[in-house]
Amino acid sequence: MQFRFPGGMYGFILKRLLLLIPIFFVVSIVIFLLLPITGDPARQVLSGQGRQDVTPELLENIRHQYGFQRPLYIQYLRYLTGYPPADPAQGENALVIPKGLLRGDLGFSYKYQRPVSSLMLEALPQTLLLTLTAFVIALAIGLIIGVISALRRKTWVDYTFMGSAIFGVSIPFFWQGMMMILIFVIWLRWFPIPTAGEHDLMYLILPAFTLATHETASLARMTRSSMLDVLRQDYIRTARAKGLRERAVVYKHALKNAFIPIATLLFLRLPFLFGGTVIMEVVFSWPGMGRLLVSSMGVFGSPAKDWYVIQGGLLMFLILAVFANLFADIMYAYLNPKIRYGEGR
Amino acid sequence: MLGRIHDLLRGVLRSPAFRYLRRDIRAKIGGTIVLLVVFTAIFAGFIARHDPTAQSKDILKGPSWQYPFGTDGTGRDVFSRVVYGTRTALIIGTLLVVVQTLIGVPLGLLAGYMGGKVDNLIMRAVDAVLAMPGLIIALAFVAIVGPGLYNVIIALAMTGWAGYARLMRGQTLAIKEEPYIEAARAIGEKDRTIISRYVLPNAISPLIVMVTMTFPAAILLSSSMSYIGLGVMPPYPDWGYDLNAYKQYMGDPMPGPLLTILPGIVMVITIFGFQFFGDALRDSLDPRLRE
Repeated sequence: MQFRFPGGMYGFILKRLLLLIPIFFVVSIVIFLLLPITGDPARQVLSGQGRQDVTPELLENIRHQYGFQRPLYIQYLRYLTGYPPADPAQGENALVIPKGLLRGDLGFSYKYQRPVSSLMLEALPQTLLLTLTAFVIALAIGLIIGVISALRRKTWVDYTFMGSAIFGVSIPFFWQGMMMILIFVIWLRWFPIPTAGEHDLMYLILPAFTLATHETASLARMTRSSMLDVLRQDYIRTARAKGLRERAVVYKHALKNAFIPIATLLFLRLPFLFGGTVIMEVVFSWPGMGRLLVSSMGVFGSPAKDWYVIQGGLLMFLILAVFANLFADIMYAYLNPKIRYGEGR
Repeated sequence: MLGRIHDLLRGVLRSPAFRYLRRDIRAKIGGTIVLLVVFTAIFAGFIARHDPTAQSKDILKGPSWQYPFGTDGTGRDVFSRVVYGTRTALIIGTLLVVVQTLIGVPLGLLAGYMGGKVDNLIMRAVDAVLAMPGLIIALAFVAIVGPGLYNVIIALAMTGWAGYARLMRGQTLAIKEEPYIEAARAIGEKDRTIISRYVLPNAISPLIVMVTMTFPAAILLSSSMSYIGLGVMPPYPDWGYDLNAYKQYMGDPMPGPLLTILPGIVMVITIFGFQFFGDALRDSLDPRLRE
């Protein structure tokens, strides 16, 4: 007797949501293992704090404080659930022993001397704000450029747009960001100097537009080719043949169908966009998770690393990526009733 | 051997794809840039006017005949550093292509040819990897194992192979249905032979496009990583690393900002060249678009 999922859209979404549970476990195991498989974790913690005077006693002390003396599966259990709790008899320090992912604890940052989860919660809205603003800008401009290019196929308008689109995906985020700062902040003084402190809308514009460049360009290209595919279809010929105005053909029939593959690809590209967000946050000192993550990584070969922040930041970005994929799947199923979401894909 | 190369070259030069490519403006512009960059990388020693690591008393000088892009804060010739930077960029691109091909192509062939559980297992992994933010994973990997040229390549290949695997699987699935595969089976060819002698050669043209497109992606990602400080480290001259070092002069009066502008333009043109050429190449190998 096999359990059957309810069919239709809701069953499909339910199934996708349930699939998140094993994905979460796999991701948490991989992230947990980062520290132990790359060397002696106690040594990593000490070098992360920038300590030079590493003695065997100190190592032993740290090992017990962090609970690294326990077997790995106990450590993972602790990382996940916070059980067993810190045991002062073994010298375990309750402050740095993980209290469990499932309880929303991501460990303790020794650089900021604060719980990682509270750091992340502060930074998450900033990252989402930047990414989603860029996303919306790209969507608006990219769709328009793509549609115009498709309609004016093989004219100078099309060539100009598509040429600039390839140029757009050729500019590295960081350099474009630097040039934006040079032109609009240093030379023209239209925008304030980027800082991680107080923020208003003026600080958002430059990084958001820079981040949107790649997406706009690739979206314009996707829209153009998708539109061209659709415009070749028989039902478009039919629509024209029955005397519909060109406007109605393009905007009602063509664009609607051309949007199906775009909507899916759009969400699938979000993880890529998060990579760009990290670079933008560094270039523009944007107080989001990317900057937090990079600043804890020990850049330019410096050994100072904030391990729990790296783990936590990575986890957050991976979860965001997983959700982006979930949205892409749902969007695809929603817009494309042809796919059989009743049966296992 | 020479005869075979001759035949192969003649076949390529007479193919409709090449004829299309020769007339395509994108291929002309992109191809010229790519050739120039490769030429620069090979003959860097002759093109650069100075040792890229040699410091001099000429600190922060503007562009001149002696220093085409000016000098940096320690008196090094920026033009020479940019010229030698092409080597780093192309080494990363080439090695990344090699590593990703070695991992992705066999897995893709296997998945497409075997089908069933093997296919399912491999494609689950491919889907999972493709869903992940590659740059963030690469940064985390380098943060753990330490920066450096080879670690950057491994870090980028960790997610980059999946695209190759997916492409090869799709190609194999289509080719598997061809009559010549059935014929090969009928005369009793082994699976290994069928894959290497029949499937692989027929799947080669989209693979070439993929390889071409790996170069701009590699330069884009690796320079971003070294800009952040989690990428290529000295003594290799790297565009991203240098641009990060030169950003402190952006607020200075005029020769200062040129240190970030000029090398950046060279970097963008390089990436653009590969991208443009790859685009034309893709169209030329797609019979539907050739018309």
